Amino acid sequence: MRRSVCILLAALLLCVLLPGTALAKTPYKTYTVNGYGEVQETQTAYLAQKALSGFGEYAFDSPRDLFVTPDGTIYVTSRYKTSGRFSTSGACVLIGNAQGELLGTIGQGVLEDPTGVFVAGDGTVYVADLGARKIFVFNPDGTVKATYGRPDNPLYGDEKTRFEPTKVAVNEGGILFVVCNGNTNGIVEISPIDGGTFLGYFGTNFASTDFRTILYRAIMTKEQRAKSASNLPNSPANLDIDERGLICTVTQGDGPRTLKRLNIAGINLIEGSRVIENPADVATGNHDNIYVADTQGYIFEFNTEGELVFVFGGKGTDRMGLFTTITAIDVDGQDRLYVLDRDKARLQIFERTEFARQIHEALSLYSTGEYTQSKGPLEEVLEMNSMFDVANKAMGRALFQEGAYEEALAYARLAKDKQGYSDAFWELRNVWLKNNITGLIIGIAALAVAVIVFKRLNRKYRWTAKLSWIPQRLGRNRTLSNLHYAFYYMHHPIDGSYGIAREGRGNWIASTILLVIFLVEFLINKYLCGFLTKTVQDGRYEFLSDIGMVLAVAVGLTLCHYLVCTINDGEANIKRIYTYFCYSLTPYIVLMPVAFLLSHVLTLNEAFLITMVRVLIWGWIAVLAVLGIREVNNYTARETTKVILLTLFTVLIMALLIFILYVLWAQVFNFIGSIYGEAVYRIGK
Amino acid sequence: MANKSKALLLVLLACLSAWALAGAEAPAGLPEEYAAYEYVCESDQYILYCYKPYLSVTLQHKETGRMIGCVPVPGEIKNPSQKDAQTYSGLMIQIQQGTASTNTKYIDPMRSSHTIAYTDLEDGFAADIRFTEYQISLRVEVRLVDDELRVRIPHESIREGLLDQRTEEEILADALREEAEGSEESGSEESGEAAAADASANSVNIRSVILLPTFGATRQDEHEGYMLIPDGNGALVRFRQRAERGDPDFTNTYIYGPDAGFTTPPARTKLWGDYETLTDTYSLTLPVFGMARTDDGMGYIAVVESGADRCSVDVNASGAERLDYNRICASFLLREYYRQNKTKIGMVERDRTHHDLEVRYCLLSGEDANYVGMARRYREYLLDNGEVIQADTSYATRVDFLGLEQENFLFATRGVVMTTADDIREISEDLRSAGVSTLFSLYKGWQSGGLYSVPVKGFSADGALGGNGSLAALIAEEAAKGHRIDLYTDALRLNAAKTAFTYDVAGMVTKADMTEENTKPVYGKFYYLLPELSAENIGSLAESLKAAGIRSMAVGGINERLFSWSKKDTYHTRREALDLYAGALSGVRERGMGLSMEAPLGYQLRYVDTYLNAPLDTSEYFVFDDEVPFLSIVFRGVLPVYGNYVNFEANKTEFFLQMVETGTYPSFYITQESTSALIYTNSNDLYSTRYSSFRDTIIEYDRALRALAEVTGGSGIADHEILGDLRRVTYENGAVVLVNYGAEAAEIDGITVEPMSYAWKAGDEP
Repeated sequence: MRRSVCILLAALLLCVLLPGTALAKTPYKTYTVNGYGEVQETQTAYLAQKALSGFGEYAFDSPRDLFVTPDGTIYVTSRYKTSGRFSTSGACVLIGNAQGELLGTIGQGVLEDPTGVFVAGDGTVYVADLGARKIFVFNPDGTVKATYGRPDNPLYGDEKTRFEPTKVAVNEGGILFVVCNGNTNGIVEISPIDGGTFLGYFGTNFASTDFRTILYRAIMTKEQRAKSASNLPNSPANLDIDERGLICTVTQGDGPRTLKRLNIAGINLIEGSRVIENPADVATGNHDNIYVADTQGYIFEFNTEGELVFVFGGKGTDRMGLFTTITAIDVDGQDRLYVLDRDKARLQIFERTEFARQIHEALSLYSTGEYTQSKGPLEEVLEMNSMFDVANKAMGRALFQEGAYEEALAYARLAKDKQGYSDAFWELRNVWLKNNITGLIIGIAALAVAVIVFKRLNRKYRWTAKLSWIPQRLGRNRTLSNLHYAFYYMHHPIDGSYGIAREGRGNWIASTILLVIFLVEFLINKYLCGFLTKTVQDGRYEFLSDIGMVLAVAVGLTLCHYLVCTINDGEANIKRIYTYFCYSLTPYIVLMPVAFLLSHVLTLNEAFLITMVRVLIWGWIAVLAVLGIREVNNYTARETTKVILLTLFTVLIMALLIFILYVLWAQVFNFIGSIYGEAVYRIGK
Repeated sequence: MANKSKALLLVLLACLSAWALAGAEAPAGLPEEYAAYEYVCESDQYILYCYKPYLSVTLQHKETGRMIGCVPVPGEIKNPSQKDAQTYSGLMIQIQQGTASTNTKYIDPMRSSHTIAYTDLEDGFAADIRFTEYQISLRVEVRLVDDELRVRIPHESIREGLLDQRTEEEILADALREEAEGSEESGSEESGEAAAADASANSVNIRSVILLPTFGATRQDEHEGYMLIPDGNGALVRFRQRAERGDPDFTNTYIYGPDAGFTTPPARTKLWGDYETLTDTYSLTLPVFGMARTDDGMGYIAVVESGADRCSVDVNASGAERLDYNRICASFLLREYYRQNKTKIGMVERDRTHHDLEVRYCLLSGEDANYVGMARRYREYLLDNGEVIQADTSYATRVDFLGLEQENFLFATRGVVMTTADDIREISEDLRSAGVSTLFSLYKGWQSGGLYSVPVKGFSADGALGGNGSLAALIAEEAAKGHRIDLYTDALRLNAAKTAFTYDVAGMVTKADMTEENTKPVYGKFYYLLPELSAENIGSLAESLKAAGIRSMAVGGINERLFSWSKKDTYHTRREALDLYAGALSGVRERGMGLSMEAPLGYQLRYVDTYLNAPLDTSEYFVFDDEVPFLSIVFRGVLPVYGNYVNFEANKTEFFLQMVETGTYPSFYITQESTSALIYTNSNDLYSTRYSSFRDTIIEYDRALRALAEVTGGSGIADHEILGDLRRVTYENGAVVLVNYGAEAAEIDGITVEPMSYAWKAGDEP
């Protein structure tokens, strides 16, 4: 009998070990955002490990807020019901742990409707009580240390400005930052000195006014304006404070400014983030990351720059990790997430996966400038998900710092990181120029010499004169001649227009060829220009709509302009109108290749040159078109302006007409669809 | 002959005893609460008792005297409530009156007027019950065979005397007419549903039947134990009094998944209005459920033997706002309720299900009364009944390849070549040279047009991958080197973009299209093929593969959906689809070909020789207390079982340990080209597949799991214990595998297992 005992030290101890197990088909997907800003699925970042309905015999009832200390002690402000023979109910701060054990209660019999809780490093507990309209401060043993009511300071506001605290955070200096219900002035800042000194408002949001609102308000009567909703800034929904004293807030309805990271001066350090429709709470993480919970059940994680790293969760009642209405989120020292569901009175605890841990490690190292060290975890991350652009971007930047510009360029391209790409390209171009500048100068000089020599020899031997029959013969071709005329028109628009109007220059074929060349260049430039100026995604081709759009504009403009000219004594017929419009595109045909070539050799620092070329092109086109209209139709300046405006108006009306027709036809198709559906039902499938 | 005579004599004696004992007082040793029960019959291990008025049955284990069965009836209950009926009745029938969705109710022998006639059977009894008010009658047969309780309702015994005789068209016409009349008379709009209800108010249809709803039920936390649900790998719902409110029960979860012919997935809230964030739950692929009282060693594993294709497993976990009993039972659906797509008028299926409703309770006692015992017993059942065929379970690492995908280009699409036949040859050689001696592969997206060019009707490999000749040669060469390559086909779906006009697609019974839509970049819509065409395609592909000398294939799609459908006003049942698919799979095996499937449904098991994508987790319902490797224990040693792809696991170490624990073989999804090439294809959810990224991992996993497989051999799992963070798995050959999921090292059986690691001990047998 052979009996052997083998012990395998697992060969796959790849990383730091997780306590407990996470063995589940995750009920939710996890998404990230790629360099284009598109949402993309990725590995699970957090797994729901545990669900608690209370601590000990205290069951949650409409819990409102929670705070988790780094060691995992959980404070929940909630109404409660106790089980057992003599069940009681009330409202307080319940203190427990992740095992569901009750560690204590605070504020029983004192608190009325606690909605926010914050625990300072020394164990002092701050509670925002909406019912009592006060902030209560408790010692760690549960005794009341202080209370703060409505500030007396006139700067707080008039009598109508109530003090209804919902959330509270406290910095290391003991300054309280209080979110108040309906107070649009901002976060109330209270110093504990002298029983609570009002320091002012902090992190005030701004009311945004869009064009539509301005337009509406301009045409409203005074009464209507009085009745319409006043344009006030939104109140922050929640806040948190990180270890450096930066305050993160979330505000519903603030679009890309939903999440803010405010320094002590109240300046937002995040340029903009993804829109979170119904933010409930914000929590600062241990890696310069920020978590935001949406009442709809989604949990977002952002990096220090406000870029979305993960979003997961969702609405659901029966599976772990899903929520009905999230009301609060917090994180402990082990990066466990604690998320409170008010409707289901349930606290769920999430554990990081290996993947998220690698991401955090990499981003932490990167944000502290340890680029070389961050490469290891980044490689691990990219091995697990090569399409994770947050990591690709960080990898590109890390490689750039190391001087590995070619690799940095590749990663920046992969991550669609234009700034990173531009920086790496700049360095590579410098290297290329250093290595090739001599050859380049020699080449240019040689070319110049060759041209001079050729010209001199040509004068002597008249080589080109022997080929002069070619342009003459080509010139006899009417279409080619008309095509050539486009360049004359470009430089001499008034004379050129005269030629179109009086000398019969330009024809349908030549104009159409110019339009086709314009179209081809337009497509080439759109899809094959340099990465830094490209406005469409790689691999995305919309040729059909591009061609359709150009043709629709050309045809629509020509027709509308013809209609307008006809009734305004214009002398141009439709052929001439088509001709001068198409000939006006010549600057684009000539100059856009320059912009195209520049887009491949310039960085963002010099991108203004490309912009300049584009402005020049379109300005030139506009000048040619206006002069063409004036000269060919024999208009005065006033008439020209009038006709242009009328043309634009006609185009607008025509677009509207087409839209109405489209809507009507859609109704017809819908009707046919219904008939078909009925037929399907009657006849059977 | 002599044995037969003896057996016959014993049966006769047993019958005589039963006859003599019938109606007598309960035998000594029967607990007091069962005083109202009558002796029916007995086997070597159990005695069957019944409280006939309520059809409540219970069993006594002869050796221990312990009882298992329905909740004991204290005697006749006056004015029973609905809760009483739910607790004590052995039969519940849900009926539909008219067509209004709210007009359903349960009838039972406790509250509904009825007649009941008992007939003694050789090994049990039959009860012919007739609900006089509703003119519904059926026969319930209960048999005790050795240690099995078999309960059956023969389909021919079901009679419904008040059926609505109108056709669907007549119901619709009546509803519309009455709606119009109602509007004229009252001047208000009356819903079509209410109008239809009026027209058929007196009709009564059976919707569903629940057999022995409380068999094995326990009250609150009076016992230690659990109910087993075959969700994912296996989930336990423990007997405990749940204080938390709002935990929904695990109800109406159909075996083989929901019927797409009637139901469309519910609308879900989407992230930013576009992104689906919720994942689908696992379907119950096995028609079983179980219950075990671990404190006194009684339990069962119940197999739905007939009617599984229209049966749900209903679970009630004792707790606040619910019944006080932990119970699990089979609920057979006879008629589905649906809304006609265009008119939205509520309808009940015209015809009911026509097959027997049968559950076999395999009783477990002593040390077998736990989830391991359930799994082992079910394995025996499957093997004994030919539901699964013993296959070669030798170890091989699974490396699947993606061949071709499509991305949009200009006005059409263009191919994105990911892995050619030559690439596969090179990768396989490379792995073999690194010690990965045996491989198993699926080749996906091999067909002309790529992965989503479906349906596939024959062997036509895409030229960009090497074409038919190259692929057939590769498969033959690799087979000679111990590397089986199965060409994968999705037999269920038809790509709407590939076929503009077709009559080959199945429609819902509600007359709506049966489609699957997504927000992927290239192909956004797929239809479900008519099952007869799915079957035909499987057959024709198998035939052409065989002609090309290829001896195995992989079939997908039909393992994900089983549906009723309509075509030209003819309604087809789920059962018909099941038969067609089964026939096609049987045809593959009859051609002498190997067949692998991803998470095959229970009825498909007998045709497969390789089980792919076995779940190692569950759907994570709140009501679940524990996850156990039920499915792994059932199939370990019977079929080679492969897990989900390692590529996409966020917790790789843990996933690896799960494979060690369950004896599951690893799977990888590989492409030769960079995964980023897939970004504009429908496979853009594959975020890491490149071979160069996974080469070392494949070799590492192969080395570790192959060594383990050599120790465990082809043995089944004999025992599985959960000891905190530690798992001890004992194989039938005596090998023991210890897995530590904890953060601390653990010592057991004199072996120290490092944190997040494993160790093993070879068994006595080779």
